[in-house]
This record gives sequence, structure tokens and C-alpha cells, in this order.
Amino acid sequence: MSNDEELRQKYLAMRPRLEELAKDLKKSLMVWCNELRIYSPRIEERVKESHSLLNKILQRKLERRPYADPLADVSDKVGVRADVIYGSDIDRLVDRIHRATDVFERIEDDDIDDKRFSLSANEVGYSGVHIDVVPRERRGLARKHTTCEIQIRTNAQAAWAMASHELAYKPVVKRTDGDKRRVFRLTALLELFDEQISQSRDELMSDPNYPLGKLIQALRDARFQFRAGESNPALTHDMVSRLADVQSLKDVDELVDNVSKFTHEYDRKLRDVLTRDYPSLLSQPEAILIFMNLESDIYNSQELWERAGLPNGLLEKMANAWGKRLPPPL
Amino acid sequence: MKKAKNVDLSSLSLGKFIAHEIPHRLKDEVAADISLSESLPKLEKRIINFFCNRLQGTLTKRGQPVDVDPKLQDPFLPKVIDEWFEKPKLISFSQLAAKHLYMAQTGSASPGMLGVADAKIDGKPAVALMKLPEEEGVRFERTSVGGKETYNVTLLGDLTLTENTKVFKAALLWRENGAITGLVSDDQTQESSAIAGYFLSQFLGCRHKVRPQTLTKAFKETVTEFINKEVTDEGDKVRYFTALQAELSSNKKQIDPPDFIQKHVNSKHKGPLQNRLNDNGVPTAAFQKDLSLLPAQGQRSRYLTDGGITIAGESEKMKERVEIRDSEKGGGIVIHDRIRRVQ
Repeated sequence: MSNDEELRQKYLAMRPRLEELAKDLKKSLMVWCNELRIYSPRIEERVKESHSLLNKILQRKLERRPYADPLADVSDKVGVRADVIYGSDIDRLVDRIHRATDVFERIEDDDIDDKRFSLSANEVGYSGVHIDVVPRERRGLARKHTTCEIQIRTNAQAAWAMASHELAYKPVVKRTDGDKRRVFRLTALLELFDEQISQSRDELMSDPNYPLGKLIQALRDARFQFRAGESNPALTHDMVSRLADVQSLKDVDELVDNVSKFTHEYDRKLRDVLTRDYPSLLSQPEAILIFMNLESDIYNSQELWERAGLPNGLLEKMANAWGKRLPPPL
Repeated sequence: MKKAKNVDLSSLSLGKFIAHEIPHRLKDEVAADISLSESLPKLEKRIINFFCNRLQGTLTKRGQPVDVDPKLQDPFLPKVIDEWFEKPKLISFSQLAAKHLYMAQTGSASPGMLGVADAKIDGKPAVALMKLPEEEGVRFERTSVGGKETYNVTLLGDLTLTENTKVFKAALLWRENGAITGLVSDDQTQESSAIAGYFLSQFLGCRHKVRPQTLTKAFKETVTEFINKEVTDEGDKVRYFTALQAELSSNKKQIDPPDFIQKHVNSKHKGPLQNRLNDNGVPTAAFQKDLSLLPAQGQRSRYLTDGGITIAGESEKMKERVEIRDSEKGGGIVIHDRIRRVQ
């Protein structure tokens, strides 16, 4: 059996365990994205195909700098890619991975390749961050075989990566200056896109009305799971701005998560209650917030209601509909 | 204490509804003398839901679990209800119920309407009965007198259910394992033992599943245990305990746990105390106060200190002479009194 064939057989034997490692890694990234409230990440895992591995090894031989221990030295046998919307999400996720000492062995600065800053001014490219990690849980593999690569990019960087295979990456034909210039302009445009989208987000999030707006939107979306038809948006704005605790609005993402958890947990009950036409407030999105408050602490809920200057009778009708006894007014 | 099974009243829905007038009954008058509704009214769904919401409110506030009283010989309504579950004909059932209520009520019972509806609770068929008192109200109508605008006022003497009407007598009954069970709110069983429970007993033929004395004992024990285990501040401990003593020794005929909590307990302890009461089977609905299972303590309070000293005395005197200092001011107990005798 040739050396290459022996290598291929060894690799095929370890591949199922590498696939398990890849799944572990993907799961961890999903948990961290959720923890950091990174909106709508796309996370994909892959294990290098055997032909791709052999190509890479062969390429290095041809370049006269062969791998000493090919199965150990190829560091991207397992790769996980996370595509995110905002550039700042990359930094937060890299930081989280760096701190994950329970999941990975110590990550040195050299293990992190931030390609956003590693290109010189006249180089073409628009890439994210690559990190080499060694998981602590190795699924029965030797340590030297378990280096994995995590790539984190913005969606614009992902778009560039896909196009660059054809346009700029390892060109097989010599490009004209005009072509090169087009590619430069394209990467500049993508960089501008990421910058502008991040700026817009920062401005949006610093707007004092943003948390309230986000909560109202979540309540409106949730309401449509249970009933269709019009509601009164001005009333919703007034009620939610009175009822949403200033403190809880500071972490509106958590509040929005709680709306989602609540509607999931009480799905059947909400389907039953919210389709009724009495009291009228049941047709409003804020009914869900009122029920969340009643379910969480009925006494607090009543205090909040009274502080908001709302009539007690209205809360009593909502409590009746929710099947809860409202305590007497304070 | 055996915990009554909770039903989720949010699942209550009403279907067909019919009402009968229940006039004031003079001595010797018989059920044949009252005129009864003979057809179902056409009601908008919203009106039905309005009744449903009011019934939910009444039962969450005052509804106690009931079952058929085995001591009653041949109780009328449970038999009729049993038949109704087999053959739900609302008009004839409600007519029988109305006649039975008319005969069961005492001379002092106020006239009103009996609303009867077929219902569903937790997906099970049920029947709802509500005694609605007559009320009066006024209506303002814009009009013009001599070409000048004003409001005319009309007295409405036949109002029955307004936003503020308190529905004290209501029942929701269903079958569980073949037996009639349900929730009943009856203010008279709670407020005056002299005319106790014509609605619960004579009319419905039911009794409370958990006896009031058992609930009263559980309430006292649960609140005391909560004070001793969960309340760390000495001032709060004494204040809550004094309020509990006062609640038990007052002239009030019922105990309303949420009312007690709302009036006497700090915000941070309200939810936890309510949860503890619920866990120990004490309902959120008000119940009749009955001290017969509690040892006769009079109105005495007793404090045990960390140092093993017992301070005991009449509650009123203790309140007057024993000062419990705020923990913020270093805590401690000061007794403002003189020693009369040593033993």
C-alpha cells in the first residue's frame, strides 16, 4: 500500500470522530451566539473530504515544503463557520471563544488570525477571523489530530469569500489592471456596507425609543400567533410604555426572549383566552405583557398597574380572563 | 390537609344562556306562582363572554370547592344536574332550578334573576348558575329643553348586572369520576351562620370539600411557619405575627388571604407567602373563618428570642409595651414596663 493510500485509510478511519468534534463545536458556537444575543447567525460545520486533504498534502509536496506529519499538521480538518450580521458581533464572539477555557485548551494570540487587519493596503481581500482551537473533549482522538478551525465573518465577508474563488483567489489566469481595479472597488463596497450597517445599528440602539419599539414589535408578532385582525397601535404604545418596567427595558432582548418563552409555555391557554372578545383589551398585543406580569407576580403586577395610573377594574377583568384572583387594590 | 384539586378558570367558556326572574317569596307562595322563561334568548357572543368573565371573577375571588352533601336525603338539584349531564336540555333544567331556588330561598333573600348556562371547564361539560341581584342605576341622555341643550336623567330600576355588581351567589358544577363536583361562591355561608347557606345547601345540595376549620388552621400554621422561616427582619416578624393574631381574633367572618397579604405584608414577601399558602392547600379565594381547630389562645402573643428567653402576654399589651427595634438601628427588643414580682 502506498504512503498516500495508507494516509487516506487512516483519515477515513478517524473521520466519524472528527464529525462528532465538528458537531460539538457547532453546538458550542450556537450556545454562545444565543448567550451574546447575536441575531440570526448562520453556523455551518464541515469535515474535510479525503480528496481535499490529499490535494492539500500534495500541493505542499509540490511547493517543496511537505508536512512532517500530514494528519496532524493540516489544521483545518474540522472547520466551523459562523456568519453574522455585524462586524462588532465578530469581536464579541472571538472574545467569547477566547474565554471558553472549559471547552478549549488555551488559545494563544498566534492562534487567532484576524484577516480584517492582516492585509496590506494594496492587497485584495475581505475576510473575517480564523481561530485554531484544540477542544478538551477529543472524542477518543489523539490531541495532535484535533486542531479545529473556526471562521467568523460578516455576511458581506461571506459573500466576498464565495465570489473571490472565481475573481481573485489563486487566479489561474493573469488579470488585467481593469479587472483588478473592479475587484478593489468591490471589496471597498463590501467594507463600506459593513461599516454603514454597523453605524445604523449603533444609532438605532442608542435611540431612547428603541427598546420600547422592539418590545412592542415582539408583542405584535406574538399576538398574531393567536389572533388576527386589527388592534389599536396608539393604545398599545401608551399601555406598553406605562407597563414595561424601566429596569427591564434596559435589557429589552431578555424581555423579548421572555415574551417568546411565555407564548411557548402558555400556547394552549393563550389560544383559548386571546380569541375572546371580552374584555376588549384581549384584542391588543399588550394583553400578552399583562398576562406575563400576572403570571410572574400578581402583587407586583398590581403595584405596577396602579403606579401606571390605570383603572383597577380593567386589570381585574384581565385577571379573571386569565383565571387568576386579583388581590384587592392597595 | 387534603389539597382540593385546582381548576384553571381561564378555560371556562359559556355556551347557551337563559335567565329566569326569581321574585321575593312571600310566606305560603309556591313555585307555581312564578313565571319562567320559555325560550333561549339570542345573545351576542360578547355578552356571553361578559357573563363568563364575571363568573370567572366571582369564582376566583370567593369560589370554594364543593361536592354533593352525603348527609342530605334525596337532594333535589344534584339529581336534576345528573340528569342534565345525560340529556342537556337547558330550558327545562333551568326552569326546574329556578323553581327550586325560589322555594329554597328565605324570606330575607333579595329578588333577582337566576342565570343558567351550559359551560365547559378544562374541556369537561359543566353547568353554571348565577343569582344576580337587582340593582338601580341612572342613564344620562342628551336632550334639548326649550331649544337649549341639557341632559335628561332616567332612573333604571331593573338593572341586574353592571360593571360594579357583585355576584355573590354563583356555582359551576361538573362531573368528575361520575360524581358532581365544582366551585361555589355563597356569601351567606361566609357572613351569617343564622341563615347559613340556603344557596349552597338547600338549593344546590352541596357542601364544602375542605371544611372551613381545616382551612383556617392551615392558614394560621402556614403564615406562622413563613414568618419563622422566611422573614429575617425582627420588626417584620412581629408586625406580621401581630396582624395574623388580629386577623384571627377580629369580628370578620371570613379570611381572605390575598386581602391579608396586601394589607399587612411587604412587597418582597407577598408573592412568596401567597405561593406557600397555595402549596399548603390554602386557596386564594376567601373562606369562612372557623377557629374550632385552633387551641384557645385568647389574644396572646409569644416571642422566643435567640437567647432562649420567652416573652409572652396579651397581644394588645405586647404591642403597647414591647418595642422591636429595626434591624437598621441594630435590632433588639426593649420592654417598657416594671417588674412587679419575681418567681
